[in-house]
Amino acid sequence: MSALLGDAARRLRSNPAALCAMFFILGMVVLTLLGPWLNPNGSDSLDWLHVASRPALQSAHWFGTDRLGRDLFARTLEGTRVSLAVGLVASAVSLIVGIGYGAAAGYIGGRTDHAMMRIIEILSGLPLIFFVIFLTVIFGRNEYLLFLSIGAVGWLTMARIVRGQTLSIRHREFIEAAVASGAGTARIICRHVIPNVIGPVVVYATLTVPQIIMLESFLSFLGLGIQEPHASLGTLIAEGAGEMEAAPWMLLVPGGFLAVLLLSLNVFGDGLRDALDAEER
Amino acid sequence: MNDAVAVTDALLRVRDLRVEFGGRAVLREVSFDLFAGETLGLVGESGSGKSTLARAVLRLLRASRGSVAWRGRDLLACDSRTLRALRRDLQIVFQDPLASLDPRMTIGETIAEPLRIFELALDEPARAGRVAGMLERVGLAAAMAGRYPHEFSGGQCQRVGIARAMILSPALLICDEPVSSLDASIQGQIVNLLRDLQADNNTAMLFISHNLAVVRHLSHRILVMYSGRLVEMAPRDALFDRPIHPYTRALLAAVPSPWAPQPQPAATAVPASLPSATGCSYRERCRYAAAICAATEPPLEEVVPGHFAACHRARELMT
Repeated sequence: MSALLGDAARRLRSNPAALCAMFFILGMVVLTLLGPWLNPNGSDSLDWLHVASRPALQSAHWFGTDRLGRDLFARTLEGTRVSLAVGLVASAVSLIVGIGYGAAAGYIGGRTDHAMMRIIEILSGLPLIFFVIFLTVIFGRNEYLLFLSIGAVGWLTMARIVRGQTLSIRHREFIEAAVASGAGTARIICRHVIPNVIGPVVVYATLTVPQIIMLESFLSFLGLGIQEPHASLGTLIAEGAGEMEAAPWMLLVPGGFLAVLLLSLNVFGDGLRDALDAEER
Repeated sequence: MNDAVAVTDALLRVRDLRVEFGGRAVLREVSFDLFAGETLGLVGESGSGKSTLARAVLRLLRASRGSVAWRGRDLLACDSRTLRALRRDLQIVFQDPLASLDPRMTIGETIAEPLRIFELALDEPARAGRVAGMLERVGLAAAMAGRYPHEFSGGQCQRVGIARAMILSPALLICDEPVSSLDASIQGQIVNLLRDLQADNNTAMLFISHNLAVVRHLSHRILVMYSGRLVEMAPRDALFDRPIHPYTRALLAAVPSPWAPQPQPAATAVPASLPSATGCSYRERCRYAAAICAATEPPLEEVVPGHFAACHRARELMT
């Protein structure tokens, strides 16, 4: 496995597009973390002298302000940080749970598989919005709840994909060879099944990050997610869309950030799949 | 088969093994013994159930009836924990060398896997040393351990498969057509490698092939399968010199020989229909078929001491 990862890293380094995307993502992460030090304006401080002002490098507000006079650069960075955190945490949760669950169901098969897939169908039958509202009513509103509820929904599709991939390889001869060597079920799943299904799954995971960012902004719009004075890219774009004609920068700045972020994630995911696929070089 | 002839110290004793796929029997009442250090050849045409037999013996697929006694313990009846412990002594080499290696694992890791499972006391350097030694034993360079299966040729992959099977020095090695997907020039090398490894470790071997020359080169005794049944079982020389069953005779006659310049015409064509439910399943292709062959299926009987055949007319055909 370590040799596999070393090889994958070497192949990733020789892919300029994926490297570029990786630096964009890392750059954004660094920028969102350093944002408060780079910018004298707080994300929730109001500047009554510059309400809805245009972006200008010579002024204090590089990317302009919104209609309450809040600095758009600071708010966009905060929004990017929140969106990235939600996207990454929820994707990681769905990846870990989904891979374990899906690989086990697909490999063990039979009645166990049947029961596990019925559970997934029941869970995916529950409407997400009701689920989130119930959680909000019971536990009150907070961001961790948002991570939890989005992750709880995301792993269902992931598990289905992993199970499908597992079914396609479980009758391959090298699995039979591992059984004949005396490997137990857990060992076969961890060392043979998961490494062989991880390629398509990683690509799907990088595609779930944008999906989850969208879902988060949707929930925030309904008042179930991120709330003022905090911001996410989704809420900023929703807000900016309302002012599109009068102050287009309010839409363009967070929209541009989201577009670059999603594009980088997709390109990076593609590069990652190529790097992990030892056979298709 | 007559139990009286079975010597009690058989390593592997298969009795009345039956495998069904979707209600259709692909392996019917197969019985044989395998002794320590012995090589048992298994020949038969495609679809005769050779690979099914190999997998059923190792419980890689479910037999519907019968028993497989390994040193007196029934592999088909024991629980999965016991079975896994016993797998240490029961190894297999597969037909397709590339497909039987995990594409995500270096060949070093593949060969080390049985050690990781069964020799837990071994530390990393000791394990790497064992793997390097095994690689050299099968004719590969120890430095190749870090490479992936797709970087190797079919013959080299099969050497890796053999190294994985032999690293624990198993008491039984099943070879499921290990050379049939390889070039003729490579086949000889692999066969000789298997024979040398077997001699070094005193491993018993069940060698499956449709290549009679290879089987003759390796085996002490030979089983002939037709349509899921054993039709003949005999010591090597007896089988090649005095075959009894008409199917074995047709099989031997089909081998091209420098001393028989005229190619032998096939005895009869393969029937278009599936073998009928009653009677001998070979009778539609058999030039000696009589009325009794359609009525009952002939049991595997000892015609000459040590030489078994499943044919109603075996004794007539001997003369």
